[in-house]
Amino acid sequence: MLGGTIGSPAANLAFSFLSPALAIAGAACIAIPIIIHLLTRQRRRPIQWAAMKFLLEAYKKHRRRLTIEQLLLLACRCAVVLLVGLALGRPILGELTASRGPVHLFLLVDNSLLSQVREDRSSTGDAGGALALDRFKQEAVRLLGELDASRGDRAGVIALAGPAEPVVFPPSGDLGAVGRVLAELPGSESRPDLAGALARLRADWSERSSEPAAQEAPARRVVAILSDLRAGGLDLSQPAPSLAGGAGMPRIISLSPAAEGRDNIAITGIEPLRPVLVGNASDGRAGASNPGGNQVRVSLARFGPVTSRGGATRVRLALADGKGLATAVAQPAGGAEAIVQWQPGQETASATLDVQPPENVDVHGLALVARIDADWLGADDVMVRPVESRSAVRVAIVESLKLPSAVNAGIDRFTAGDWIRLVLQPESAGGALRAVSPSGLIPTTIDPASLGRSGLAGFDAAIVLAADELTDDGWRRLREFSTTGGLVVVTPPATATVHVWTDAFIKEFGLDWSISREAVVIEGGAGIAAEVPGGASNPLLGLLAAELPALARPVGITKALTVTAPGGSLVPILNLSTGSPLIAAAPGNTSAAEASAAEHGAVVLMTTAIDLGWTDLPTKPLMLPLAQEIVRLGVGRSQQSFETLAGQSLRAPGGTEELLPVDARAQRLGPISGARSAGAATRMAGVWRAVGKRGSTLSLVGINPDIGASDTSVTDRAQMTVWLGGIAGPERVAILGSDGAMVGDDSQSAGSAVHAGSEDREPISMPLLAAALALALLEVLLARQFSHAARLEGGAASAGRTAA
Amino acid sequence: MPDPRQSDLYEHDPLAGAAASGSPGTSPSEQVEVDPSLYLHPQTLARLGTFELRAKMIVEGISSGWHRSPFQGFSVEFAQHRPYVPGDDIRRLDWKVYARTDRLQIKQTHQETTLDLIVMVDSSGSMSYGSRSFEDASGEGKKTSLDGRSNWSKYDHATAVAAALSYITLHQGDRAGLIVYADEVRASVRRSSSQGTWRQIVGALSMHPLALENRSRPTAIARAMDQALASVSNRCLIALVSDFFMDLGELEDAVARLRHRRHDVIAFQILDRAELEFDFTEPAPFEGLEEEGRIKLDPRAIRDSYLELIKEHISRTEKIFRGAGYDYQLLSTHDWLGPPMAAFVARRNAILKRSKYA
Repeated sequence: MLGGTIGSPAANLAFSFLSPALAIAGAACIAIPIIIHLLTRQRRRPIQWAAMKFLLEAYKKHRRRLTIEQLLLLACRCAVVLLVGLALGRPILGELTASRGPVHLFLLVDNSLLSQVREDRSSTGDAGGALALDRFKQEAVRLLGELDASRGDRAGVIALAGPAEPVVFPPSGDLGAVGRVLAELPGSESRPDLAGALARLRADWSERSSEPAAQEAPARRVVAILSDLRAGGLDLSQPAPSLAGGAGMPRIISLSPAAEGRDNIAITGIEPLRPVLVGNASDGRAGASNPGGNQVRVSLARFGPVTSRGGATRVRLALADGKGLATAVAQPAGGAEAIVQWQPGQETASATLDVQPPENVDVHGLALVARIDADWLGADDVMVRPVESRSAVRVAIVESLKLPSAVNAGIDRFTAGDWIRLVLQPESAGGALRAVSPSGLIPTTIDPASLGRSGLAGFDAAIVLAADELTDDGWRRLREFSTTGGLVVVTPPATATVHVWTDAFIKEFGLDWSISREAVVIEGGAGIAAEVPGGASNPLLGLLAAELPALARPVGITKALTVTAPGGSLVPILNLSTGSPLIAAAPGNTSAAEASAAEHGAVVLMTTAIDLGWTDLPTKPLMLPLAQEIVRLGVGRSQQSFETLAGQSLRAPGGTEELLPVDARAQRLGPISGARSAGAATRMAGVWRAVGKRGSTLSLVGINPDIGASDTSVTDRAQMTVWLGGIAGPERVAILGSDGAMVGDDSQSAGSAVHAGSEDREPISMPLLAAALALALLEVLLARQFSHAARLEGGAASAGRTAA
Repeated sequence: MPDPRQSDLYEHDPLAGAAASGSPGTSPSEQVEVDPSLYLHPQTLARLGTFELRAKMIVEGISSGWHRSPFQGFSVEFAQHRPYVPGDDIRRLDWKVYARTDRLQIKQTHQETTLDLIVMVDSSGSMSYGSRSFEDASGEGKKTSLDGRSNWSKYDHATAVAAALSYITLHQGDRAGLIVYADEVRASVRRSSSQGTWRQIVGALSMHPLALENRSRPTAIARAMDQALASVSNRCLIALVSDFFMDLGELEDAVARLRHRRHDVIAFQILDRAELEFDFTEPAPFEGLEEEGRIKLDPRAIRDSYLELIKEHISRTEKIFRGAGYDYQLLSTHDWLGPPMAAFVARRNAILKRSKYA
């Protein structure tokens, strides 16, 4: 029961009550003081009195006054009870249903990821079957039908898919057009943003409340929340945004929260163990060029009732290019496949699959597509992650060309460049290391003097072995290279005695480091710390963590630069046994999560020179995996991953002119212009192709469903009602059941919920209670005054003195 | 005040003593030195089972330390001689003067100064009121009176006063009588100084005349006075013991009648403390004792007016008596009886002195 009136509407009552029954009960309580009076009257025994003559005379003298006093007290007491009773009935001024003003109905339609939950799974295919969104639209249309445009009713639509988007706003009087907009409202894959929608409403109302038109004819506002309000859509631990203030409090109509949870398994992540997939060599020897393969970890999570059961989920993973991507997303064929076994109660799991990139692929056109079997919520059953795939990683070795290569002269005369080239392209031939054939890593030597002029275009990484020979332009080019995502590895030149280059290095890369200008000779030599800092989570050497103790044992270091830095400004990659860093990286670009947001690629400093005079590392087995991992992972970390979640700010490669849809999901939104791609939130999942000025593909851009909204569990109805009550007060919340009737009162329909007229009128309970309190105080004062208690005390005292 | 329980009074059974004496006689105070006021306090009196013992204790307390009265019956004090004229009673010739001077002279003496006391006790319905509990009045003694009442009423107090007055009078050899009245004379004891008078008075006082009828009668003092004075020819001291809750105009007429007949009057107005203070705190119905009906009211609301009215009534009552040259004494049922008894004795002495030289 949302409202009602006492008496006939024709009587044009001055009061109406939101809870008439309570009001009637409260009014009936007037009898309480009268009953108390009667009861006490009957109980008192008469006092036999001798001086009755004087008593009667005194009473006769004051009879009129006493009668008035008693009536006044009785009236006060009855009025106090009456006011409290009426306050309980939550009265509002004016009649409840008569003389309605215009209604402004704001339809907050949930078109988020959770609106993609299927209503019926009889059709098990991906397509077909009604979605929750369809029901929300039907309810919205039904509420829309309760409005009357001729009376001035208006309707607005806000799509709740985050960030909340006003679709029809301010509310329009063209209710037919609003209905059409509703029908065409697409589903999205972002999480619901009810708070944002309410904040938008509040801001708009606050702004409009000062307009003269709004003050003259205030419309009754009704906010309809059309959502199942599942657990993934709301954070009930946070208070509901309040719509208090402004011209009037709105009425809140909400669909009843979903009664049943839905089984949902979502793909929560695709993570290649190496961010850059290195393709097969032309001779097909993938194992040689890409040791360890291209492993990808696919993470899953379960929500809803299914978490209490065991089961199995088939995970398919495919690596597709732009052409095959649409097909792969819609229905993957081929690729790797794995089965994830679930234990009862288990909520998360992961599967590791191997993928092999095709030959000669477009380096910017590949994406990993993971897919699981369809369930109640199909939108989060597929995930796309654009990846970089290269036939080879091109590494620039910045080394003075004045030094002749000594590869053929014996390892004792190897330069640092020789060692690097050797470890980047190892080839076992007759037991001797030879750089004889191209592999996944292609080193190219660049003279430091020419670096300032030509730059490092086309390279993925630069290993600076002659830092002391770099000019200012060379350092600037190096920084620019890093800014575009290149990996920069700097080692001290072995021949330098004073390393003044460190100043330029620190300055150019904006590091907060302190590097010694002279190498420190370590007495007796030092080894490499057996443990990788951070263990398996080490950004560059995590994969080596298990094998490092064995590999590092034979390595000795006799000279090294010392690097110190404030906490957090240096990421140790590998330490000497003395504790000082052997390999350090600049922060902010060494983790996958941060790589995309970093302003530059990975910057790595090795404190010892690749020279046998400094260390015997080049001759040890550790050298090969060390260099390979630093280059491979460093390049991968340096590359930005253009993958975002629906509803979050879109990231696209620099220079993107347009985003062209690749898969069917992206087709819903169509091409995105470059201006919109810069930081705009895209609510729909899909894969887009970032196109540059000349129509070249810069990268794939993947937008995945926001799995934060994948929780299809139900919320507690009572808790939800309380939460909704925080928006505009519990008394203004109406819950609509699935049959369109009010929950708890079948006689009330959605129409009555819309037209209940209390939303812009405050119940005057508080003023009534205040009046009751004031009357109660008055009654106390009057009772004390009329009872002459004070006088009696004084009189009794004097009488006591007389008697004494 | 000494604890009565520690006094020697309790070493003797007062009831046994009273029964043994049966009439004014040996007083315990002659044997034990105690505070006389102790005996005159209603609380003490209430412990005593009979009126006669109460009165005895009162008077012994008052007269403790007095000399015995010099007035023993008729007066024989010489006043003057005058010549005999025919018709004079020859028994009053002074034969000694005739023998010496051979002239007939009549010997004149002072008039007889025997005091006649008539105690008039009001037994109307209003006298039944008493807010003090009998238990309180009796200390740790009885909880109820002999007739079963649990309160110490104004009539109880009045009987104590009347008994004490009678006892004093009889003890001095004067005549004492009693009239108990309400709307008319309900009981009376003729004036007498005989031994049995005391018994008769006590007997009359111990039995409330209206209680037997189980009715409440209003006071009609004029009628009662007429009835009482009908049989009185000589001047008397009339002790009026009442609450005087009556029409003061009627009282004024009655007092004027007494004055006209040259009676002397001492008035004791007995009121309860509750009537004087009216300190009720809860609304309650009040029911008149003289069939005035019932009324429910908040006593706090009309207390001031009530007190003003009753004070005015008391003042007017006193004025009526004082205006006629009579004594007036206001008594509270919670007060001791020393002051009224002292006032009575003083008044009696004054009367005797006045009449001696009249």
